[in-house]
Amino acid sequence: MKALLLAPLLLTTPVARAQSGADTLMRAMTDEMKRTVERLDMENLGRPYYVAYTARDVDRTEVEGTFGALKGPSSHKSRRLKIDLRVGTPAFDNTHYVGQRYWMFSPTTESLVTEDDYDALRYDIWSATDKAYKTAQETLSQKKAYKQNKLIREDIPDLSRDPAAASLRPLTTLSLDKALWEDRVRKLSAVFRRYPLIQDSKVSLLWTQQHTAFVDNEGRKVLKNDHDIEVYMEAETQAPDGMRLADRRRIIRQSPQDLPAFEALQAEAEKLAKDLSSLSQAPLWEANYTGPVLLEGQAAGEFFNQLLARNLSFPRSVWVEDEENKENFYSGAFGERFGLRVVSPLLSVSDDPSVNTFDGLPLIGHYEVDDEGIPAQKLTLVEKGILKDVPMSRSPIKARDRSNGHGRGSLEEFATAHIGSLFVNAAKTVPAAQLKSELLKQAKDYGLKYGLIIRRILDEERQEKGEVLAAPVLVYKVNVADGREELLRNAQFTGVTLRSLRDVAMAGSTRQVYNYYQLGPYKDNRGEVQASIVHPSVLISEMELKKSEKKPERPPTLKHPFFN
Amino acid sequence: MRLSLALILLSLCSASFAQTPENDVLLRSMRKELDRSFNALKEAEKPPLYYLAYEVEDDQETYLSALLGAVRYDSDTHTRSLTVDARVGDPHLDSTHQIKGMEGWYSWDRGQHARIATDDDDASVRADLWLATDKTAKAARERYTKVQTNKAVTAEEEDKSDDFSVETPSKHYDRAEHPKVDKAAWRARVSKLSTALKKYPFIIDCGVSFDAETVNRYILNSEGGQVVTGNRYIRLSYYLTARTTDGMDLQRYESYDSDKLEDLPSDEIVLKDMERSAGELEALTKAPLVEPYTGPAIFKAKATGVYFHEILGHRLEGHRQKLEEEGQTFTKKLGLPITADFISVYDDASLHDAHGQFLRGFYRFDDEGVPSRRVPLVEKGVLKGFLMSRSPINNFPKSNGHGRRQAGRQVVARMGNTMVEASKTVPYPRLREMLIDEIKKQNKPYGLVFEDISGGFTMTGRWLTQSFKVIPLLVYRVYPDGRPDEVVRGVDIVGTPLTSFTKIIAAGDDYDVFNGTCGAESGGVPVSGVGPSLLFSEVEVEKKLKFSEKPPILPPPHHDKGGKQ
Repeated sequence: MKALLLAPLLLTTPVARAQSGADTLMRAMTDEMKRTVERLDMENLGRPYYVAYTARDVDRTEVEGTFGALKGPSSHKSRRLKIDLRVGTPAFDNTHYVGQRYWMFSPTTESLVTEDDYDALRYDIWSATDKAYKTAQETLSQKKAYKQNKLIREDIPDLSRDPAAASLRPLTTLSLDKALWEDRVRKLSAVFRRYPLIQDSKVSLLWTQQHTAFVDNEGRKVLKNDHDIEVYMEAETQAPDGMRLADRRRIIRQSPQDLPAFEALQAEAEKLAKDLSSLSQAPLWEANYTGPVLLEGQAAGEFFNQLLARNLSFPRSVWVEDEENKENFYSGAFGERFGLRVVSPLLSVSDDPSVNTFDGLPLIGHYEVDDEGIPAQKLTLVEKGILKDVPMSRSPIKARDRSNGHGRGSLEEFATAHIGSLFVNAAKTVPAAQLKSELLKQAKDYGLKYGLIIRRILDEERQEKGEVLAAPVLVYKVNVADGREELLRNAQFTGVTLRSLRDVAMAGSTRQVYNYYQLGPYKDNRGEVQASIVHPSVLISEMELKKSEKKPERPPTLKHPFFN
Repeated sequence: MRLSLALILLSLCSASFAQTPENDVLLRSMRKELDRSFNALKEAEKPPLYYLAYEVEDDQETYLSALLGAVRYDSDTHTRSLTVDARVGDPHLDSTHQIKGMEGWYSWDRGQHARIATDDDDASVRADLWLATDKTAKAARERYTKVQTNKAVTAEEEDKSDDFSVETPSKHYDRAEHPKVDKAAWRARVSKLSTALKKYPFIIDCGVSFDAETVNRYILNSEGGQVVTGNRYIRLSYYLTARTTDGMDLQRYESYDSDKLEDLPSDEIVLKDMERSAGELEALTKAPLVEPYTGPAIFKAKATGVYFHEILGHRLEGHRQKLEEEGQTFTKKLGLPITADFISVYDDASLHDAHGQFLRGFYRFDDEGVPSRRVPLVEKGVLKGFLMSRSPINNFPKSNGHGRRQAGRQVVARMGNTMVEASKTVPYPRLREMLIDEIKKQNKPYGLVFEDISGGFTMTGRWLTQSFKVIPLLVYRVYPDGRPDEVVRGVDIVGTPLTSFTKIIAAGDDYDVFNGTCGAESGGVPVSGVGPSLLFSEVEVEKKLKFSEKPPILPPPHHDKGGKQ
């Protein structure tokens, strides 16, 4: 926990301008914050005891292309403010409570002027703070009533006590060669002109240059870069029987120079097109399956995201006024399982946001200070299957009363504890070939003629209602007799529980990096946070799959104009 | 910033090569795919797909806004939105026929449109057209089945008109160029203007905006119709908001509309208007509340435009005359007097400007490719006609160029430039005198003058009361005893069409233009309402909704004299 203060004098002109602009913004936020905690009081209800402002400058460029042509490149600059304002006391304040308007569980946010004008900035901050304060007071009184009505006796504080420090980093502006990327997006989207089995496709480059300024009344000051660049590809089609198929790729980095070379991106687009084309010709999954499953690549990554990361994260639960909506406000299951076995004893899990790369690949879960101004700590989360720790924001839980610098979220969300860069390590690993033969051996033990290898699973956003793990996309039947693989389509998992984490029987020796966006826990307001999971391929001793419940749709009457 | 300049240069380049129907790639791609689709789909299944149309809206927009001297938003966008229209059946009964009863209530238009490439690329555009056509054709087929069943199980409609009119297909080509916007200069201008509002401590929100939008519409159909037509909408505007201690938000707003940058007013004029608006807003914060009331009133010219739009215009939209769930207030009143005999109303979307002001409802062709023209609605108080799209009604088998929509929606009849004229007028000061005479005659304590309105809405369906509401922003109370006029607040104008229309007793000679956006089932479309000040013997007002929010607790930072800052 060091306090870092960097002088802006050493920087080159464009960055220096950004820096001094940030000074004006910081000054406006700090001054309004001071006025607020000293004088904002309505009807003697009490002044706020905590105020934090986060301002995010966003310079966003989107280059979107389809089938070789661009859809109006768009770019815009904006600046938005998020306010965390608390009334009451750290032991009991207006947070962690969802009132009747459950679809509006979000912090007060406001647009700010994008120019560095002290008066205009303070004006917007003032206006939003007024709203935040009034909302906070109303929420606090509703929460009090809720606590009384429900006779709640447990007392977990709402805000932990954490050391305060400043972290001011030089702001960087990384230029993007727009003409180059327009050409690239056209070329990448044109890949689909060679795949007549694909009905619709899209390739986008989304370049978001973000600077975040944070200040609170406990003495924290943060100035940092939150850049994000993503190459997004998606494709859709139908099988001859009308079943819809879709898949996408998201290649995410923190700076343009970290992106893979153009040839690699092109190969990715080709793979997406080929996989989806093969899938559209593959036979329909018809049977039920109970047996061993080998998860490779992205499938293992999503497995660890949807089951492990999701339950290590968000350990603090919120009170929900309307019982029917409780399921929309998720909290990770592992927050209450300290000392218990949560994954296979083969595995140990750590989280270290300070790591930049793994095996030469950049980790986007890398960051220094979280959204609440707390420096990120390295964590030992699981040791040989036993839960030791969870990521923490400043929202305490029974087992932990301090933040460990993992409080993050999009600007429109309350900060919650997320993973940063998760490392899943196996005590014993075997080469890939051996994993496959072990799969077949175990399938034989089950009396099956084949085992399953799954290489892609839909991301968390595509989970259907009630699913714990989203449907698989690339499922291969592997013959026990000769190891031959056959692609099948339209299967879905069934009966998946956290048990599957404990059923990890074997792990591969090659670890892969899965850079992705971890979603927030609240269904109606799920933001994205950069995260990484470094993981092996894993053999799960038993999983169940069944035929998908999706219905087919009539394919297009006419053939695609380009291919006919 | 460099990208946005490049976009503008690009469009200028293509303009300098003089886009013609021959070298317009988008047009050619649309024609190719439409012909291919129609030829293949029309007989692919029974009943036949007998009509197919594509509309692509090529939209370029530059938007800037500023607050208290600093830029808030700055964006440049270029999008192309595609809407496909497909009709299954035949012109007498097709898939667009009304679905009556509860089924109809749930068959509302979800407004799906596709965004297609802005690059002039044949392969990509045609791929997107193909998928959208397939989806729309299938939906039309599904709806046709519903239409047939619904017709069989519900009571017969009163108006048995066809579902689609016969029209001569139009061929036309004109494109509008996006204006050359000097971004730096406009950013500075908008910022500078917004600084003028800094000095007023009672303002809790304000802004100055600049919006330049160029829309080129490509409308092609399977009848051989081919229309490309462009419009530009440029608007400079400002708003300022204050809040009273009894929890009412008050606003003043002004917009300057044109289709040419150079026709926007000078800073001098805008600043003068802002000063006036600030004075009016301050007066409003101190103004007394008005109780629900009925009495004589004057609608100033701009308010007249809104009034006629809400209480007459919407009720003359063609399709409403045959839809069974509509109130059909004026359906059977053709040839009958519905208002004062000195009032005439017509809608003319072919008008570019009136009384020295640009008209937002100006267009050469509607969204079905039918040319705009002058449509008489009321002549000397007698109802003469309706606004027609290609959906016929009794006595009106043809379109008169009023089929409009926002991308993705189904076309219905909409207004354009709704023009109210009085054959007998008096100068405004005389109109005021007449107001006072009327107040005295009716023995009322006061009358009202509605100086400015923000807009309004109207209910035309049978589900709710068929009333209208016009929302005034600035209202004056006029006393018969010579007391000065008093700003008042807290009420909206409410009424029902038939009664309200009989209360017009005199007109001024002071025409003015209201430029706005009309919202209805086919989405938002730009419109205008033009008319003179009118004297009503009776107007009813009811209490305005308020959100009861308290004004901000602390003063605006730059006006804070107390405390440490």
